[in-house]
Amino acid sequence: MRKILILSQIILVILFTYHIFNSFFIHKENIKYFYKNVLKKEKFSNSQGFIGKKDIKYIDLINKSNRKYFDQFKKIKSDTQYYINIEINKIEYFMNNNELFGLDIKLNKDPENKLIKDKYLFIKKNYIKFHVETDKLDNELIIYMNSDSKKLLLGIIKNNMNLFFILSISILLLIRLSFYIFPKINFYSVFKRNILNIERRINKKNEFSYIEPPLIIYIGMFSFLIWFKIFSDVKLWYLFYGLTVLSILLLPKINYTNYKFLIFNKAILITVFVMFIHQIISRFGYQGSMSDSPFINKILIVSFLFTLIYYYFSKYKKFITINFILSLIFPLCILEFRSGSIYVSEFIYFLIIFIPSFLLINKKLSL
Amino acid sequence: MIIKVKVLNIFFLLLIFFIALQLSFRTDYLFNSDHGFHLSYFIQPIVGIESGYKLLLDQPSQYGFLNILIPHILDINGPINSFHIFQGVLNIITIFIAFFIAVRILKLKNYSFFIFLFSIILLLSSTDLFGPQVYPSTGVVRFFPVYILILCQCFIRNNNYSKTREISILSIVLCSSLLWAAEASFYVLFSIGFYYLQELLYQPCIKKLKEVLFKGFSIITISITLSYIVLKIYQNSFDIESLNLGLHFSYLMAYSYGFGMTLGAIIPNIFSPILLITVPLLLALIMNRKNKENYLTIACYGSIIIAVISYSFMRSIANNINNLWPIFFLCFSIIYYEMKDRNSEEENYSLKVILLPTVLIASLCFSNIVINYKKIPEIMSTYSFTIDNNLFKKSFQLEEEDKSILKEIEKIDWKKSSLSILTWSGKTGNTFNENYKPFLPGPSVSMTYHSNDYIEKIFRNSYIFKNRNGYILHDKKWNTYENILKIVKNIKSCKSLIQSNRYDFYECYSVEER
Repeated sequence: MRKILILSQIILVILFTYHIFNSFFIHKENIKYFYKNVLKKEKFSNSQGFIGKKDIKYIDLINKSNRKYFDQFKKIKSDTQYYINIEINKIEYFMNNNELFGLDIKLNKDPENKLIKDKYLFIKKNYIKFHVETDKLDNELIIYMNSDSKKLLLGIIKNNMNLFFILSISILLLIRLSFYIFPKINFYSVFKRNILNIERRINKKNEFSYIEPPLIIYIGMFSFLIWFKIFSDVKLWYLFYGLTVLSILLLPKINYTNYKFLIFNKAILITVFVMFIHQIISRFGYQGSMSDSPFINKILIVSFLFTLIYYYFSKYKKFITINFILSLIFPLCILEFRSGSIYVSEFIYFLIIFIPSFLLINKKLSL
Repeated sequence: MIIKVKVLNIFFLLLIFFIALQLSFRTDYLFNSDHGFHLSYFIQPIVGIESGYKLLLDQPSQYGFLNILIPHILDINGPINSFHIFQGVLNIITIFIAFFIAVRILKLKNYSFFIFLFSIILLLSSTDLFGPQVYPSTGVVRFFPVYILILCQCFIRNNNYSKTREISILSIVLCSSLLWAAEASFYVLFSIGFYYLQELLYQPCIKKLKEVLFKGFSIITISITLSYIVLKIYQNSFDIESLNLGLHFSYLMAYSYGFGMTLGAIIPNIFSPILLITVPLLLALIMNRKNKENYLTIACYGSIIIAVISYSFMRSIANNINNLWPIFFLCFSIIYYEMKDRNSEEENYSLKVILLPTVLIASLCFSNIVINYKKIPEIMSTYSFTIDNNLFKKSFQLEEEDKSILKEIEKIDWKKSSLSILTWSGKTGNTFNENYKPFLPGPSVSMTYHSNDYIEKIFRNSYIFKNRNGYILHDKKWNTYENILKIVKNIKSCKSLIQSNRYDFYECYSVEER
């Protein structure tokens, strides 16, 4: 029982950490949205009283033209504190106090400055954005925004701590209670028997097992890199391209016979599956633009495509793992295409047209 | 029965060609996409050449050399029409390439169905059925040498050509891609190189290494020599003292440093569309690693696929891969049909895997068309070989109205003077006025991708620019053009005529003249 308790707590901690970082990045995107759609679009003049003011609250910037952006911003923000510091002043002011804002004399971000350099839990402590604008009197102004990412992250952790403790205690109690309620069932033996079954299935080798590892390594590598955003910028894409070229060149050459590899495969496969579910839930469609679609639609589209592709390969039962992987990965690949986006609003057409098209084209081209 | 199938095939083929012809010469794209903003990347260099600037000397061209020079030489009823006809003809040639591959090389029974699918993917692939023409930079104008490479590789492989013939054909392809555009030459060179590398790694031995090195070295030498000869002819015909070849490759370099990256696009997409292409390729390679013929077939066309995927990576936009659908469709289909006759159970499975992207891409496109069927007649009705240039005789427009500036522009004597508009606004920047003579080589946007020193050097070495007087309208909404303006002010003597909140209007002369 102790093992189950520890395992459940480990899983909970992983899920909690994931949830915290995921929420953090959603809020950070929201701050970026605020800068791009409110601060960057706003024309500032002396009469508004913002220029040179020390403590500008973001709420002070609401007006008729940007209200819809504010509504969207506040919807995601809800009651989370953002610690946004806004300053609008003349260029000379920023030149004279450049270090205070993390800038060099030429008003570029200074990589050696503490504000820019400091990190906290792998993330940059300060999120800084600024741009130059000319007001009606031809004065060059700098609109500067700094958001404290460290405080934001800690705030999110604090907000979710209660939930974590409640969940943690509930799970502990639930597991303990279940042993009292069902004393005759030896949970551990059931668990162990299932684990052994799974292990036997995992280690079962067939003549085509050699195909799995390279494929899973490639997909796993791809998913891990992107999912965890190891690099947050475009370098990631170059890394990807390099890895794809290397994978095409080298992976078919490696001989995989060690069964430990097979266990490793399945472990990656499960992780990829979790990521896949996450994608369906949170970031469906091209650049997440279809996230507003009802959850049931997402599930329906993916499950329908899964079935279709699985059916396509159904004749080849020996390759069941590969069939499963392809049927799992491809639906999301397809839906990430821009063309996929129309189908969310016109889901019924998708069902009616795509299935016969797929079957007809498959039949005709196979001839 | 066979005759009946043949007659049906020919009937459908004629129908497809008729429809493809209409779609290839559709004109609705000219008025879409931000008032022709993307079109201006191709039209404005042609306008620049017609006003005296020269490619590979003082007229930068982001998307290539031959694909700008040919429409300029065509010169049918103005730059826009020349480019329109050039693009339409390229579309038709590309469909003929697919036809030749399907009928002559692969000898497919259902070739009309295959060509039909290829044509819709080529001409109507986007959700709104715009096709590639809205952004010519995503269509055949950019990737044409890749289609030629696919045709040649298919031809070489299926006719068991000798080493000498292989080298000659691939050299000509590489040469034409080098002249077409630097980016196209990267795709072709990478495809050939990566294929040879895979061929070498399949059977690594000294003999193979020597063979691969010989073939590679010969292809590069012959293609560079041929390109040199063509460029010399160009240099003499256009009376250019010395060519600036750096200008040909400068945009490829700028791309590789990330100028084309879109901010919103760098949000990484897990399971992005790239996996749909790379996973079947990898899987097929693994499964066929013991079958040399199949392995090399996959490696050959797979190399082309991997080469063109870099287009999506360079822009860091996952969905840019949509523009490559026709190439993927063609490559995966050829792999499938070439492998089809050499089958075992294992290979049968890999055939299924290889066919899957083709079927998915085609099904998505087909579904798009069925859903948007109402738009088809409207698109077809815009078919025209010759564009009425009166459609483009638009007066200059400013996004933020300023009558004093418009008045000044109206007064310009285009025989003596010229105008350049430094803006990102499509409405203001892409005015297709037939009298228009550019002051700076255009489009101005293209010049912002280079360093100041580089642009200044081009301007200073340009005889045309040195002797040209003109006006500059600077849109201050974007600070992108400040450096270009500074460079012009350094070289020319510029007088500020009008300054408004949004625009600055300058008149510039050669320093000696003032």
